[in-house]
Amino acid sequence: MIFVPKDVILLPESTSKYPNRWVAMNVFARTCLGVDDKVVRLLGQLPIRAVESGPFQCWDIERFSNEDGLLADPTRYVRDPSRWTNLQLEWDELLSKLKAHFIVIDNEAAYRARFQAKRHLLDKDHFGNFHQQHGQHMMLVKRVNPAKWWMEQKFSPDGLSVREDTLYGAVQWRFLERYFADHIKPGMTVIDLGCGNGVYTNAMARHGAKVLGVDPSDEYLAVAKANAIEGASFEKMQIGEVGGLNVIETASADVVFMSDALLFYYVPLYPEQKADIKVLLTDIRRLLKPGGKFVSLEPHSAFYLAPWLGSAEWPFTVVTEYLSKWHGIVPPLSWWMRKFADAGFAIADVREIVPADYFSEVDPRGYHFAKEFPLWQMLELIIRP
Amino acid sequence: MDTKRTVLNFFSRHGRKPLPDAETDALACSYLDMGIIDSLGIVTMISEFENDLSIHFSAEDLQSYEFQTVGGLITLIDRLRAAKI
Repeated sequence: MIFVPKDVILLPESTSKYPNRWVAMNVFARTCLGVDDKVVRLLGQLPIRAVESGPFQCWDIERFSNEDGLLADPTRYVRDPSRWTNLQLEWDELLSKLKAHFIVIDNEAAYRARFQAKRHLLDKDHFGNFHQQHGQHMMLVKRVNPAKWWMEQKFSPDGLSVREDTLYGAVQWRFLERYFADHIKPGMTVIDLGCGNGVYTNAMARHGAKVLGVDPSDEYLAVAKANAIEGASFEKMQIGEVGGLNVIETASADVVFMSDALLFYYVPLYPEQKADIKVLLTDIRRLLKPGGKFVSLEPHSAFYLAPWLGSAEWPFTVVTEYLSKWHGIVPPLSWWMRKFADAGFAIADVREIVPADYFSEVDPRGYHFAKEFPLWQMLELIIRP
Repeated sequence: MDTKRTVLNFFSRHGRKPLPDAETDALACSYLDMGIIDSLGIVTMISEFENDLSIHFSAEDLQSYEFQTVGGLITLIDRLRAAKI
């Protein structure tokens, strides 16, 4: 029997210029198809059958929208209806299209079996987690170097600043600009773990701190070293591996800073990655001076990668997973808390960070969504007495 | 350049373990599922075949089931080469 799985929702997308348009979206599979009211009526049948004759009007609208950036709209359909690809389909073609996008299914068990990690880069039988989907798309469809793409989607072409036209700039950078001004003082010693190309390392050094940026990537460190300002230095170290940070003196840091990097200890970026958060947190605790702080800025446990639904000004979302993520790559809050507590940390501050107001002009939908559903969280941790 | 020889040669140079001895088994082999090469090896493989054989795999080619076995890969490459002539 062919039927619509309970995972499918219908979103109205008509405009006066482009009437009679719906988005049929499978919120678990993160797939979608544009359909008209005739197809919507068909989807209301159980079982699905050809109660009307063709042709049927559909639109190809699905796209891997995170190719625009990790913080880009993750909703995965073309927003502009003028760019929807028009399809006039006969019944068999329609059925095949609906099945391809998991708007209808004929075997619930086989469909549910797809919700697992991909076995390898070419696996298309399993949906896989976000890292896997992103890697597959970037390497097989876009054919781009992931390391280069990562830098371009977050930083300006010269690698010296965070892009202001993305949520990295509007949320993360604007927050850190204020946070560094308030908390990083001349004479402090700071370690920026997973410093990447060193933009934040330099930003902290500008406040007079002596900042050591540490990263395992030669490619990122080459950029960081080329752009280092006074007070900033960079070293290659294997963060999170036993003995990886041993060259750094014990109790030497007033602040250890880490952004967008701890999440890789929950879902490794690649299968061979050595990622033991206990090793890392033990190292961080060792590096901190008495009274020192570990500042952790990571994607939000609930809302990162949640689809941006509704109108631009009145967004809503559908959360399909939280405690046991198969698609998501950020752990639930309780996972973070347990790991920090087990490593001897206590929480001194928690912030859920929202975008600066200028972003409402740059990307109204992104602004309103991120203003209501925070995409980052900052934790300030101290050594438990 | 003989496609089959080029493909088999790639696996003998880059494989973490050898392909099955019998040719029919080798051609039917799903090289990723069998752990003969890993996901990073795929990137090397795509680049090497495209450069050496002057072909271009489309996104659809790369995501086809045909691409996932040694024999399917040879058939696909032969088809891409023939289309160029």
